Amino acid sequence: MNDTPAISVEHLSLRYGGVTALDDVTLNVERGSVLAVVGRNGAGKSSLLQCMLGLTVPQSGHSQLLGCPSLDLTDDVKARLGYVSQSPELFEWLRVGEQISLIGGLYPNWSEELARALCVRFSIAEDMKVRTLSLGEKQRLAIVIALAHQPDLLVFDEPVASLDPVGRRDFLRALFEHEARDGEPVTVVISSHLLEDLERIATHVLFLEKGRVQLIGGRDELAERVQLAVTAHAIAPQAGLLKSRQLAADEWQHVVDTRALADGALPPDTALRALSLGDLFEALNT
Amino acid sequence: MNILFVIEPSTATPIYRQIVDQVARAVAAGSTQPGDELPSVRAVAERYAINPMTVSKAYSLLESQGLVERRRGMGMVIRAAAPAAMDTRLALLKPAIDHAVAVSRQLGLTDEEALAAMRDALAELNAHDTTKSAKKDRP
Repeated sequence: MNDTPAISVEHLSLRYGGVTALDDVTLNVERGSVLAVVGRNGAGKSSLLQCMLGLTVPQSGHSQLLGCPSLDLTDDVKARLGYVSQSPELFEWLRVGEQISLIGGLYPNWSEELARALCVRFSIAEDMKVRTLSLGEKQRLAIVIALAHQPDLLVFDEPVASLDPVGRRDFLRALFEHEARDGEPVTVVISSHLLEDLERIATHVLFLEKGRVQLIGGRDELAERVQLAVTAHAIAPQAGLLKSRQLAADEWQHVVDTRALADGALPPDTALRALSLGDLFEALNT
Repeated sequence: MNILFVIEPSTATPIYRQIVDQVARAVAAGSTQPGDELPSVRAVAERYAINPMTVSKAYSLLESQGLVERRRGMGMVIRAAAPAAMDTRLALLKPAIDHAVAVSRQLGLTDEEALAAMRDALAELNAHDTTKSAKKDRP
């Protein structure tokens, strides 16, 4: 077993125009984990994924994929990587079946059988022209291609935005149908606004806000540790206090990391409430 | 054994915890028998479209709690064990009671009214059970 993280990102910063897309982002993605990347529009989700993949060059900082610098990926690492962007680039003039065979020829680990099975499952007719597919169908075709070469690392940038609920469930199931080459579970990084889908599969969650890491951790650990408290007064900024918001004259809402918060930081008898991913997202972003 | 899990992703309870709680409740209630097999990790993951690692985590926790054991060639089976002690069963009931108490407070019910409602619900259930199990012959 290999202990190198599947992805490691150190002090990534990216600016274009006057906009800061990423601001000193540092994180590791362990092999076999499923990292959900969430945040409001413009929080830096796509920028982060593109920097990880070496598709965008950051102003500072660096990242590695499967132990290889993102800006200098070897053919071997590229072959172990599956990526689906928000608007998949496909060969519009080909038929679906031709596109699949053409791409398949480029990958050493390609499974034609898996590709055909996924097409059936995602209801994509192989004799259709790629040009005539809807956006949802194009996304599904890109997902089929990403999965059928059985990569060790899958990166999805809002892959299911155009899929219906049944298609989305099928997509979630398909993620776990093959193992990485070393027999370990596949590593997945997925950005999405569909928190209920993410909740089904994520082992880890990264909350981005304005290009910064707002919160990152194991999903189950966060659920047990990060909670909501309501108090009658403001609480001074301190370790473990992730976000505070005034709801009314005598009502303050706080997102707290119960393990990092000092004893006595909250008034005695303050009720704490556990949060779903959706509730936590809202509490952190309002 | 065909445990039908109810997986609710959009709640504050992590999915592994939902699985653990539901198996523990089924065991405590006696609706499973020792030797009953849990569905495989893969089957549960596939059915509910969840991460197999989450199911593994739940099963490992159940194993460490002594509720299930791993059997070669069979997967996870419910362990032969004494029926859950009273305090275990009460502990499993506590979250539901807490919820009912919170709702009764929100509705502005008095303690007496809430208790009466609980007694009524139990009486209703008992009446139903009596008619249903009239022929049942249990030692």
